[in-house]
Amino acid sequence: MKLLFKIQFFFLFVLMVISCQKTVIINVKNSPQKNVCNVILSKDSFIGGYFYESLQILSNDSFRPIFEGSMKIFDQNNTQVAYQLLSNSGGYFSNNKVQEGACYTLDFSSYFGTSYAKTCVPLLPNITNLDTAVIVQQNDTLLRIRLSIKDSSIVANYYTFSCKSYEIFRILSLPNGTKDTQYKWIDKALNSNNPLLFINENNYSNKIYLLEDKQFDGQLFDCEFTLSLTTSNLKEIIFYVDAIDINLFKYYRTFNAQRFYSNDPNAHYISVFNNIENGYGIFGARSRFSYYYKN
Amino acid sequence: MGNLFSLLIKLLVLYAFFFFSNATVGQNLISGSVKLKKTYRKPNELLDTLALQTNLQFSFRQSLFDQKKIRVAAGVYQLQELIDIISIKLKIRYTIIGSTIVFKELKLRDEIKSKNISGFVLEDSSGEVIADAYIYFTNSDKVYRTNRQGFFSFLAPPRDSLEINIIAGYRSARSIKIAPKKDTFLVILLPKLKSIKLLTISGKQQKSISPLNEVGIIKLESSKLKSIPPFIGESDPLRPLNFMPGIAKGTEGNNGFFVRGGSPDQNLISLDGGLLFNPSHLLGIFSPFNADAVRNISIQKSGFEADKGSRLSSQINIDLKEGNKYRHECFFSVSPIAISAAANGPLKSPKTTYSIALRRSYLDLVIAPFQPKNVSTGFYFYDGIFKITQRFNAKAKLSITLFASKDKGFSKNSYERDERDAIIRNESNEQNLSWGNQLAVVSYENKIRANVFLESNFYATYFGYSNGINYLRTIDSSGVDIDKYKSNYTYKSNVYNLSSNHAITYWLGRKWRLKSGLGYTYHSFEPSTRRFAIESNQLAQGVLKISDQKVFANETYLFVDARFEYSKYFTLNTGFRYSNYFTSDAVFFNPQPRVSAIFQTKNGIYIKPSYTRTVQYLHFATNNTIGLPVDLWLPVTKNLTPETADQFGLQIQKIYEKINLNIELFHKSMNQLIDYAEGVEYVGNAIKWEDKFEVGSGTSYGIELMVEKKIGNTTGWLSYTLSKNTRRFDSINNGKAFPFKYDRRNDLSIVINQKINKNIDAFIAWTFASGAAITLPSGRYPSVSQDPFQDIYIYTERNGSRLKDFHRLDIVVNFNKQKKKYLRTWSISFFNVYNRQNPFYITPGTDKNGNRSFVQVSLLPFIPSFSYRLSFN
Repeated sequence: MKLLFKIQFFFLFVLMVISCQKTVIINVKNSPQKNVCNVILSKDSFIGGYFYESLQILSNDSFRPIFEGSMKIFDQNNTQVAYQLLSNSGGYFSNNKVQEGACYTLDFSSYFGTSYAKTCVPLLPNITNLDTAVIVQQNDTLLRIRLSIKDSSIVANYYTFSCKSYEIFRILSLPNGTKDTQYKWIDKALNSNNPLLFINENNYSNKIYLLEDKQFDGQLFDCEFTLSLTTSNLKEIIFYVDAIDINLFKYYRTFNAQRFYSNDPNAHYISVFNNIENGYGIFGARSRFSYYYKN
Repeated sequence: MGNLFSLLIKLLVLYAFFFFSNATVGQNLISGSVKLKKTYRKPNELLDTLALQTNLQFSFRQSLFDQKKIRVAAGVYQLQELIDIISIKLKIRYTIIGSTIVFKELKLRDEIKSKNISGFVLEDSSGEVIADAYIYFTNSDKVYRTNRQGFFSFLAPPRDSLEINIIAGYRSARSIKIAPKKDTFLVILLPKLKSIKLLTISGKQQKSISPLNEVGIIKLESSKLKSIPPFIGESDPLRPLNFMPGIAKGTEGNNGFFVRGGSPDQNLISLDGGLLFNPSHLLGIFSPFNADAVRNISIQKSGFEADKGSRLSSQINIDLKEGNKYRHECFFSVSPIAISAAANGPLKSPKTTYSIALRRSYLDLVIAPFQPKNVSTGFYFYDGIFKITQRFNAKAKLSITLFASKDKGFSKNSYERDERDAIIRNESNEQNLSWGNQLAVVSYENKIRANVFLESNFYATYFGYSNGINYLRTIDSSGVDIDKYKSNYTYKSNVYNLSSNHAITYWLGRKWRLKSGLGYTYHSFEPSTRRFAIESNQLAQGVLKISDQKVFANETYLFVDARFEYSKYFTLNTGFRYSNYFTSDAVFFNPQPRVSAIFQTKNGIYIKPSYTRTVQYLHFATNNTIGLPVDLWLPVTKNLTPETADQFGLQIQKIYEKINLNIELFHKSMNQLIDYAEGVEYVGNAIKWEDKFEVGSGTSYGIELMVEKKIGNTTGWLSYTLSKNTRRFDSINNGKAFPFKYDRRNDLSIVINQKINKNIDAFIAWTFASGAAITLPSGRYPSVSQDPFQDIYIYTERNGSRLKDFHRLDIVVNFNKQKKKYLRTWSISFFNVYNRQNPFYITPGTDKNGNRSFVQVSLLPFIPSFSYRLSFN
């Protein structure tokens, strides 16, 4: 009987473990094709955006750039600040730059119709202090960056922290600040620190750390980043602190979440934030602070 | 002298013959029925009519009827019952002598009221109480019923002698004759029948035992529980409920209950009066209840009396066995999944009994030897039930019930590798996931008076979910740790309640039953707590605990429920429940009216309209795909207010000789339901948990049909539900109503229990359900990164697509053999006989040619299995 149980168990185990998988035809209401507008305004660079056709879910086509369209960007006085310059990749560029604190409207027309969106360029991060130190350990040389940022007391603050480096960069110490700031901040930082953790919305965001602070309290908070110089063969390491607008913040968050949970059958579906009226994509803005370190 | 004595004996025998034959004649005469063509108001006129229509004669003093009026409406009456009615209305009593009814004055002024008959109905072989035993008198259509504690109480009709018939299911029956006296207390023992057959009582066909005087209830008595076929070798007493009308199936393997468009949290699961939070094993495939320890299960979907509350959709009552009072019983079974054992019996004396049941799965133990040394992966579950009952006397008892269940999955792996120059790197990673329930109930029951019954309980219940990851890395150089990093992450979510509930039932007169009570519950919720700790000799160390704020709340309620049985043609049940819930930042008060009625037509059709309002003081957040226990129990707060439901039902029942037919229409509207807002993660606390949800409403309506055959060698039922269940939230799906996740337009089950011979029986079940609603992407577009592997999916419609239809055939054959000391049963089961690949989940992917398509994953293919079971008693 013992043998019988073993045989049966193995039979059962094999059946249970090897779940049946097959391709099925499901009647899905295909969403109509629309303009896809991915435009991120930046105070430091010229205006640019990429425009594509969206695809139906079971289409085997690659994304097609929209070559026949017109991009217009207006400032808050309804003055056109950008005009279309079509590139081979379907990109539209303008040599103009945008202003900190100003709001802009996107108007993109193509054979799919006209799409609209609005965004406001945030103020540059108010970094009151930044210092660096090189720490030599037994097997590694680390670059430590400490900085202090003063919050705006007028609007909510959204930041990203990123680094042009080959090494994973990480937050090692807990920042100071209000409880709420810590809460939002640490949540992102700690989760990103350990790739084993499944709650990690930044796995797919090129090591961008998001910080949300809704306190409007004009506080000063400190944070510290460390990255390895030993394994980085770049001569110059660039550390970015971006103040981003709320649209871009929501886009990053939901985009990362959709990516992360896309293979999880237990997960609730996540729609990526979209602020394009009559279209898809993101019309966001950022103001970038850059720090260059010569390796 | 001898001749004289002989003559005297002959005369006595002759007298006795005539007396008893006359009495028999009288009984036969009075057992018929009579039709009154008009309404009678004068007693003499009515008795004259009866004398003309029957062979009965009436004897009385005219002064008994002088100046007295009655009102007896036209209709068909059971003759003796009509005489009961006349006697009750005129406040007299009667005796039957031959074919003569002799009316007499009452001996005492309140004699009728004082002849209260109450007691308990017990199973004679074990002493277990029998709930829902039916009690009726000969020559009467009036039927009484025992409550969940086996207690009954009624006023005797004004007869000098009374024949009481008791039946319990299609299982056992008994008739007893008594002379009603003041406050007669009976303990009635019913025999246990070994086979299911049509019973007769006093030569008359057995009355229907369907719960005709209840609304919206489905019951599984212990005899039915024992016939439950095992699923992969495991008997699950809750499994038959999935084959009942109005209870939608979850996804493949999911044993959750989705009653009339409700989610699993809207079912109150009560174990011996204590509440459990969605108990399940193996991701919902089994319930954690051992069939050997369960006495009765019932589910009510509509027509709730006022004593039932706290949930919107249903109340599932699971009553455990108290234990055999006379001898020990043992059960042992082995299946491919688990080993279980159960026992019950007396402790020293029949006054104290125990019942215990334990089960543990052993998959983890079996696969352990086959895993690599550095890997340990497995899953196990266990459950345990212990109950002890102390009877102080025949009328009062105290029970303590303890219950625990837990599921745990784990995965450990460790690696050691030599790196350069005697540097050894060790890494170990451990992940685990677990959830479980714990419950302790103390309950007390007492028949305070002949017509007053008290039920009280106190319980503590807990549900917890957790997962964790431990990571350890050491780098050792020539025996010296040059790097050590240790991290520990845990996520917990839990809820516990402390509750005390009390109810008193009064039987007032012949027509009223009043039930009133009150209760208090203390709620504690911890929606999610995360702890992260780092130990390192290189990096900064720290422990961080991130916790959503604990929420404490208090809930109180009181209720009054009145049942008025105007006649056998009309019964009205009205109730009022008033509850409140207060937490630190909000207070809620909710009146909940309940009303239901039972009309019986002259051709025996029961029509039962009902309306109930229910309120639920907790929420349940379930992700919109399959239901893993990552589902969260959440408190009612200022922003997430209590869920409410208004349900209208119309049940129509007809009982034929061998077939019960039940049709029910329902419409339920639900408010303050929650669902995840679009674009939020279902775990993590990037935003406060309250902000992840939208509040909206739901509607469910449909028709249910059930045809059941309960007797004979072939028994079973067919159930069919046609329904539509929708949800609507302002910020989801552009504010348009969308199908509920478990909206099944058609749901059909056919269940057959076939007794092949004395030792072999078979169970066949086929079930079908329309595909569940699912949210699938309808388009895609590139992200800002322009990475082709980072396409963004477009979701345009919530639950706008459908999975493939679900259907499956299961067959189980039981081979029973009665040995000298035990009953041995081999069960061979064939799950999913024709290997239907029912959808477990579906996801965008590619087919074998590389074309984009949807890929369906099925979980449970054709599975043959067996189990071995021994019953010692």
